[in-house]
Amino acid sequence: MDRRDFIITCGTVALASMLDANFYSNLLANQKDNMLKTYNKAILVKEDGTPLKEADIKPHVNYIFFYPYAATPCYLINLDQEIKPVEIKLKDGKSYTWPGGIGSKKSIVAYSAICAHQWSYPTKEYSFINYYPPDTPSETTKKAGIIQCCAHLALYDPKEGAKVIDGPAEVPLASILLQEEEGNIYAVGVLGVEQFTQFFDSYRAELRQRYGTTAKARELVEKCTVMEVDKYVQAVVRC
Amino acid sequence: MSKQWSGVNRRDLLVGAGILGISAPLLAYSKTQTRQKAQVVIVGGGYGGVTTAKHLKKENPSLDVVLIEERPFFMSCPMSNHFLAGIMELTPLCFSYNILEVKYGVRVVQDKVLGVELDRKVVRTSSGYIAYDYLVLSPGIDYDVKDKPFYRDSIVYNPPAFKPGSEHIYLKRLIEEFEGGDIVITVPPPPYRCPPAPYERAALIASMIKRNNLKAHIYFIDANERPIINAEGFLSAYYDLYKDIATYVTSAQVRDIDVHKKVVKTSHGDFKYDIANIIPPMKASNLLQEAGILKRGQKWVEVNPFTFETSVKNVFVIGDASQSYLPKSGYAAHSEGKMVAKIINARIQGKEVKEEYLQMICYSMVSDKEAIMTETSFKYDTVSKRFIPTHREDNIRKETTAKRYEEWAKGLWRDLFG
Amino acid sequence: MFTRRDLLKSAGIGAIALGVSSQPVFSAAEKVVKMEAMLPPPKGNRVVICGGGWAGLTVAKYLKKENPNIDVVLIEKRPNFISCPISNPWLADLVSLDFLSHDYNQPAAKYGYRFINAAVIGIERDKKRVYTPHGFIEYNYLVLAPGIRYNYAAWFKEDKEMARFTRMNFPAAFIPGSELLALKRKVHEFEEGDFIITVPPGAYRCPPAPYERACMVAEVFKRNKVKGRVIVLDPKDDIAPKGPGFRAAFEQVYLGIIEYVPKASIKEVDPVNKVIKTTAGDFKFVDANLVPPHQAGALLWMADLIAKDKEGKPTGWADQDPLTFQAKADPNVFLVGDVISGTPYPKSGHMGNSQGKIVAKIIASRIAGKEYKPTLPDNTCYSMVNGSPQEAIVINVNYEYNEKEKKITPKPKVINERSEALAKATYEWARAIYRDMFA
Repeated sequence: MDRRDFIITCGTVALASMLDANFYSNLLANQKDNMLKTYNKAILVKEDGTPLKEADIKPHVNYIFFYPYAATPCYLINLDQEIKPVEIKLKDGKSYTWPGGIGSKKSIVAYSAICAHQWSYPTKEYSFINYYPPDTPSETTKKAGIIQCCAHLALYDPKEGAKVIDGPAEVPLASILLQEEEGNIYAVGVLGVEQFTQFFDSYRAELRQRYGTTAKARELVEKCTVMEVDKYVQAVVRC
Repeated sequence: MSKQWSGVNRRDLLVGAGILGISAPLLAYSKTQTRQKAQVVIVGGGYGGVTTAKHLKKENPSLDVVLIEERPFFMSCPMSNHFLAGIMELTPLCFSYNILEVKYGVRVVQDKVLGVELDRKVVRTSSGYIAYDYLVLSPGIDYDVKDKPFYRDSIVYNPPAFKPGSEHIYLKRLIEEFEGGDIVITVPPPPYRCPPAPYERAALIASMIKRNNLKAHIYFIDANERPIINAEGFLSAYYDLYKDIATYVTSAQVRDIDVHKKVVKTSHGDFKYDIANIIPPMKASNLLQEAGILKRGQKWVEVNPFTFETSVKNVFVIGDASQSYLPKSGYAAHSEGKMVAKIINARIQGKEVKEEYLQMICYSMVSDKEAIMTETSFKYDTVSKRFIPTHREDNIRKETTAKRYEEWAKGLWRDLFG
Repeated sequence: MFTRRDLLKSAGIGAIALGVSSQPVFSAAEKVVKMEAMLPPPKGNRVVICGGGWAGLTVAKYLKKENPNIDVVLIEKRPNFISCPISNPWLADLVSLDFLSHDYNQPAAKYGYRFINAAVIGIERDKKRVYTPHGFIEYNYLVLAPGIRYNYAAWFKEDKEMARFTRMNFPAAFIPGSELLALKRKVHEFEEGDFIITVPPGAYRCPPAPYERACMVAEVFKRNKVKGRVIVLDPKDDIAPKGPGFRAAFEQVYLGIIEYVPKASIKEVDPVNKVIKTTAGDFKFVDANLVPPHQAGALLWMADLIAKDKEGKPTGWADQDPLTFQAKADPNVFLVGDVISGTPYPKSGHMGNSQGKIVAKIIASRIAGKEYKPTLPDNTCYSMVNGSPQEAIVINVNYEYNEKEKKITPKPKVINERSEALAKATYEWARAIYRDMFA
């Protein structure tokens, strides 16, 4: 596999392209701003339980899976074009390099689907935060190829590490690090500003209802079932 | 957080309390007494004040932040029309202030602010003085009834329900018990708190009349010539949905109100009512006058429109009381609160806030299921070094917009009290 | 391991120190500077009522009914009324907050008394003045109905920070407002372990409330299927009032959820490490509703009208005539509702309402220069002991006065058999009494 080199931690440390077992521990050790956190290495699977393959990920379809916790939703999108690494600078001065897409076209990306503004997230009933493919722009903001939250119009760019394009969010969506190994896809860590603490705080009663206890909602997953958002969510609210 | 304090020794805490001089008695406001000090004092526990307090502490937990509010708990004005129209109950609108102290360490003082002494940098409350380095005033509005005394009685008999509390509960009861007849709703000249609120309220009450098949008519008397926000959306909803049960009277001035005969006299004639929601003109809270921040003859406080600082350094006025580019709304106050929290934190660290963003989003129900919305934002453009405004309105009523409305409010509450 | 520093930081106990708000703001002796009259001096007879709870509201309305010419002023600092009765069923979502909430303007407008939404910050009985932040108000007669305040000093002595920490983290919720909202959130977010409710010693507001609350908290745990226990720590030997009715609910409806611990007088409360030491053993908790002893509200301390015991120490409650409610120290002041002492009356909303009617008659008669022989109040108290189906029990008490012995004797009637009919009656009782005060 001929992966492009990419640079983490403000260009200070260049890392090898092959994602070996030590890769993330090296990455962690060299992270100046501590923006990467590794969790379980969790395999992405289809609803029938078999491993998800690159070919299963249709372009511009918004998929959902839960990682790193049982209750924390993420979006998986095949943007159908090569997505290059991006250096993300945060307002507080910290920064990180987002490694870009994976897969043969380097077109597959994944982000936490918890809005970094006020933590709206897709439930089985509603999703206010969604991906808008290039051919279906937002009615309100007229932008396409974006992730947009309809509650307060926070806009993120999935091609650029979910950077904030417009709206009230202060930080990008946290990105989920994906790794391809022998045709299987794994989620291995979270890069950027996590919203998990606020998420679990905000939805305590809701999560207890859905998962029995919040401890269950907080269980770290080892397998992520990937579903189409339109099938998982009853009412996908676009605006 | 509190759950993790397993190993704390009680004695440690007691010692700490002693060091910090916590045994100081409560103060009456005689000038000779010792005063207490906090780095940031925030007056008003509404959307602006709570946001500022929480975001200050979130960014900088070591700051001393005191929030002074006289109400025993927070009640949201946003979404309160849902409550008035019987499509939402009261509990979700109400929040305990305890969480701000328990979770974020904001010192919440339930007290009445009697004045501010800008030269001495102290806030005077009914129980003593609190000194500050930075002062954020977010006291909201008062009804401006000075020139029109007939509003005074009206406020008692015909609750305006633009300040949370008794007024909402009374109006809700009037609406709930209404069996038919004439309803008068008046809209004051702008600026007033939450521009779309009267229009939304009229639509929701009309919707309630339709739903319950009441023999009733609404006279919606507007000081403006058309809705001052989302005009297209409101007008089409009124026309499409309520033309048989509502009359929209525009550019009308309220001249007198007889609360006993139940008549509103306007420039467009007299209107008898069975129940009325008379919304008086508004001005910045009286507190600001008493503090000398609001000049004589002024109704709103002039501030730097992007830093919200008054002519006095390190004294900020945010929310409905200030004259800002943003309309007066809970969400705008929230956006301003975040901004001011950043500015103060930056100043304390000797830094400056470079790029910023202000936003106002207002959703409005036009029936019990459908809503319209508007967004105004100011984004700092680093190239031109200017704030670039954007204004969008979605005037096509949709059920999904009503759902977004709910999520909008929940997000805001998560931010304030989550 | 958390250090003191961590605690202080997290709890927000920094260099600032403001006293606990349950302390009196003004003592009667203190001078109030730069205050002007808020209302013109009374032309006829003005009765100023401080406190817009059950007693105060009733006095205001019934005074105007007795004699519309009396200038009646009701001062209350809260922007609206929230009923403490029925607030336990609200914890379990059996009623909405709307049901408990009432406005002050409507009854004021209807009955013709003046409502002032302000805090009372001082009382000068010699000048017959009540101070608000907006100025003072002169009175001919003063009615103080401020309800209760918490006596955290009984637990923490002078340590006001610990008191504040406790009040914020484990609110007692016997005074409506933020505390009730915070308690509700706690109960609904509770996941596992022991939830403690402490029953205060001595006289306290609404004697059956802690037991009813235990049932309603247990109801939420049951509904949410959480592995939680409600532990009721009671200094008394047994549940009272309505002991058998509550006991049956604890043992039948909420078996395994509610654990009742009698003879548990509190020796020490450690809210930081979440331990309560009692005469019945030590108890650790995950979360709690810590209810300290109650005493008369701050206004009575401000007005210096607290009774003293034989050693001259304040009893914590009002010093008033048991029949006329007149303050022993001041014939122009009446003390009513939860503040009173020297009677067998429980501190309850119904009682406040019932006493309010009597006090209105007494003051109106006094103003008219007539003799009036006071009647005795009555009390009805429903308690919801099951949430699904809703079932309640009830106690009703009338009182008899023995002139010779100068003694008031309660004549209680109790229904300990819980039933759905009584649950319906509970809400009907509330509606009727709300109508009496507000409609």
